[in-house]
Amino acid sequence: MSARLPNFFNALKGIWLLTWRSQWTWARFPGRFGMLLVLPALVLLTVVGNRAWMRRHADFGNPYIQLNPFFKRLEKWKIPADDRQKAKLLQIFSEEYARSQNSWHEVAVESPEARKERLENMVSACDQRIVDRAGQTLNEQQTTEFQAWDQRNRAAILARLGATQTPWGRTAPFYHWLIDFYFFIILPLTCVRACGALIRDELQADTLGFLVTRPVSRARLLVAKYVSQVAWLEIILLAETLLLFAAGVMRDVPTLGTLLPLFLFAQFLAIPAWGALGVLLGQITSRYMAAALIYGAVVELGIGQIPTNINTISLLRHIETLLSQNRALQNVFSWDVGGTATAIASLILAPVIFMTVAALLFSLLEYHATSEMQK
Amino acid sequence: MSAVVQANQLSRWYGIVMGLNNVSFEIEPGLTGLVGPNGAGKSTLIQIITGQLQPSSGSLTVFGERPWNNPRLLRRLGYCPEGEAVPKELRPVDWLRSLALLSGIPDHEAIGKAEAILDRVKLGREHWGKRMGQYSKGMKQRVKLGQGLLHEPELLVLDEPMNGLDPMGRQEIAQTLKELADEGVSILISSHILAELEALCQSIIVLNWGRILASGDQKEIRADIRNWPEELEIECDAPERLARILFDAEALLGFDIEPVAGVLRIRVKDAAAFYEQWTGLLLRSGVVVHGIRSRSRSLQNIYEKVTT
Repeated sequence: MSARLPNFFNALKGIWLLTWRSQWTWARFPGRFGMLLVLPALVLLTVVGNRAWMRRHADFGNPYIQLNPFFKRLEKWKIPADDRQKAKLLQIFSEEYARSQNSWHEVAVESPEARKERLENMVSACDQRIVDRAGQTLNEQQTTEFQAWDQRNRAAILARLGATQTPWGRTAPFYHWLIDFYFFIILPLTCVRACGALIRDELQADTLGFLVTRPVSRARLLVAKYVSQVAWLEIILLAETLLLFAAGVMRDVPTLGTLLPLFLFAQFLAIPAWGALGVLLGQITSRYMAAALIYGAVVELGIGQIPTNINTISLLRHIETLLSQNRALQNVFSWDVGGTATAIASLILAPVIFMTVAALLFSLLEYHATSEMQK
Repeated sequence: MSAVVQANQLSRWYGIVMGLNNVSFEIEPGLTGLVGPNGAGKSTLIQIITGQLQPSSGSLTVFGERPWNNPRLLRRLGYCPEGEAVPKELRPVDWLRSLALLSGIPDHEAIGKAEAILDRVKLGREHWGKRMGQYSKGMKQRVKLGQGLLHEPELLVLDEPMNGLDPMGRQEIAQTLKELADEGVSILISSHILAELEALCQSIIVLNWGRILASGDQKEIRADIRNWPEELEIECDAPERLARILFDAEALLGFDIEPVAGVLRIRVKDAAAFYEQWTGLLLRSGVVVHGIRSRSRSLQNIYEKVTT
């Protein structure tokens, strides 16, 4: 007899080839890639780029158009500005407007009053710098006239900026897509769906018999299938994350470079955790997606929000703790966080616990087509 | 010679449904047929033997070990399930390579092994490049049989392997199984068609409603049934009246009537004694008989008899 008991890596390779060999084909590539593009496309459609946002929300206006009435006013009062003064003033306005506009940032959670106050401060600071610099270019009479005109101009800018405020910041929608929708909904459901189906799909296809009659313990078989599925998910979801970040870069979301490594690390830990939960739910019930939704409501949205130690059973809470290391995310979400080391340890421990219970169940309980049909 | 499979008061329930009912038997090395109608409990028994199900009560051992979650034993077993289920997207060599790896065959040997097996089950090489979803039922059966042979098992368990095969295909698979048996592989093969097994297996187990109705060497079963009630089929114009007269004369063990077809089926313990009374009883009844047939004692009829 040439066959020996397979080691884990041979079993894993067998499962990998069995499951994914047919998936790596050029014919399937367009469909898979198209699916991955859906979410980044939504991000691109709904997140506004920097230039467009500035046009709408923090644009001080065109200095040339604003200064023109002032120059006419000086001519009317017989104290006209010469070409050098006009050019210098235009330069001062352009530089200070740009400086202020570039320093402006939106805060996701900010009251309209607080935003208005920040705007006023920004415009006042900008105006003060302009007045200081303009004084060095204009003569005394012109300066007096300039100060009167400038007060009206500042009020007009403030009125326009205050009128176009929105309840969200420019980059906030990107972070909500990335975290609230992708990381907290799509990713967990994808993992639970894929891993919950490990045994159930084999049962429905009536192919489980080919696997459980191999000389591999049932626990090892389940773990090999889980690892194979998680590896696949890591690859697919890495691609999805990179596409989402690319969409963010295209929409000028700042500091994504510092967020990416942390996000990928959190995702790397989250996928096995959600996947293991899926395997466990798949072992317990054929309606594992419904079970996952109930789990999400009870544990993640319910118990996880209770401000005592019991909320440590929530995986989302640990993921939030990890992600809160990023200032931009913390600004947007203001998470109530715990210790990072505890969060990492919990995210590593969770799949170990889930898979131990799942493997135990698979070793003790029968899963056969008859029982599947009866359910 | 020690038994390959031993079952002792083995029962299996699915909720309130009885799959196997307190059966005890032994399967000796060689080719053994497991026969019974659909729902008889064949697949349940096979799934217990191959470690997919556990007994509800009693015990079953294969090579002296319990099969459930026992990789050491499963290394000695090959299994070909019923049905057409194969991964539709995969090509046969890829599938067999994956299963070979899961069976403990090193990667560098797996592809060669897969190809050798496909040759052995006589799947034409021109089909190897196709995905199995494109295969005919017969081709799928061949690949399925092949995956059961990958790790050179000592006991091969086949659940309805002839399903979907044309006569030529059946012949070829039967030949392959005979060759395997000659090489010392024990084979348990199930079918609901006894004729398939009659020429192939020296031993037969007849199963129905979860009970073993007969088991052992074909010849022994044939000898045994000489003591079984004989069944006669009588076509007549008044089967109910004839049945009543025969019953009153205590000539019957049992009977069935098909009034529309005008058929009376009777079971008699002592055929000779029955025929002595028959003419007189028939005349007394006044029933017009159109035909009378004795069911022959071929294995097929025995099977029909014990499974109906």
